[in-house]
Amino acid sequence: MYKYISASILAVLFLSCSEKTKILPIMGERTLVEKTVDGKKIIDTAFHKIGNFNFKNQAGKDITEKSVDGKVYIVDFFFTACPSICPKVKSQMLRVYNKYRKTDDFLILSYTIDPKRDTVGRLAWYANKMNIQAGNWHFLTGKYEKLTQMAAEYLLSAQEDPGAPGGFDHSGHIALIDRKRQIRGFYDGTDPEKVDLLIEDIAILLKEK
Amino acid sequence: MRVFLFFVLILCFSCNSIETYPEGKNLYIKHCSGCHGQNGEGLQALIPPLAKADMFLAAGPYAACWITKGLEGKILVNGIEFENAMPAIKDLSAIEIANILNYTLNSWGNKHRFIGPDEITSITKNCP
Repeated sequence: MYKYISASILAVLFLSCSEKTKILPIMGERTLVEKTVDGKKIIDTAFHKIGNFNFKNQAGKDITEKSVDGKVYIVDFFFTACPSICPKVKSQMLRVYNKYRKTDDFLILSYTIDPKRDTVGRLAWYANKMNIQAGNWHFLTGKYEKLTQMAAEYLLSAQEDPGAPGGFDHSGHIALIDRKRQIRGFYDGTDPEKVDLLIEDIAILLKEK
Repeated sequence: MRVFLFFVLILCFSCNSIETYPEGKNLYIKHCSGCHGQNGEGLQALIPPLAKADMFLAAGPYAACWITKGLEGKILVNGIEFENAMPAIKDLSAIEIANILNYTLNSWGNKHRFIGPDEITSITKNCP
């Protein structure tokens, strides 16, 4: 009897000690695709993947899907004249930036939803005021339709809305994207605790090759 | 002696937990902290701090006009230039504005005399 009890206690201890590595889910709609492998037709799951894009950053440089190729990155939508949640989100993103600014395969993309005002020059002014030295934080602008379409791809909401503070309604969420351009998490950018979690999850994705 | 020490301890702990301006703090969190930060720290050179901010402390009760009318154009705070516009915050009563100012002017290392609601009313009547 005692043998069984001590054995089960040992087993419980052993199992609780072996730390499970956290795997982040892949977000977005899944579709079934037909593939031919070794001459046989098989059905496989295709995950939602961010498509190709082309926007200008604060230095006037083209940032495309090639710029994020094989990198882990985070995304938010904002506008420089935003009087509501943007400063809060930006101050939290600044924490992430300071943590990973020296990591080569990590990027931050902040897309504006107010391209009329947020020209390349205005974004350069903003980055300068935020004390961001160009490198791995890109503030992006382009055509309004392309920007909102991009927001939809990241499953983030962003649109013009005269009733919202500053004229644009958008989510304060930050999306986390992996090396294969798949969405792996959403984090409330106004909540410091959620951003702590984001900082941990970035480290998990950086380990994925 | 023991009883005395006990009372001293209670006093010490209760002093720490008393907020001088709890209502002002609530209003600040709701209306101002999104931009100026939870502890009045501001955001880099984009949004000015309120903590130990020379311009804010010099203005004192006159900051009521910035709350009711907003603020545009370049300003200098602790030697740093800021130029993002501040939106007006509508529908705050004189008492609420006094609460916000008393809280912010006496937090995070700031120190200022008490400001009453009557003073706020007479200032906001004459805002530029």
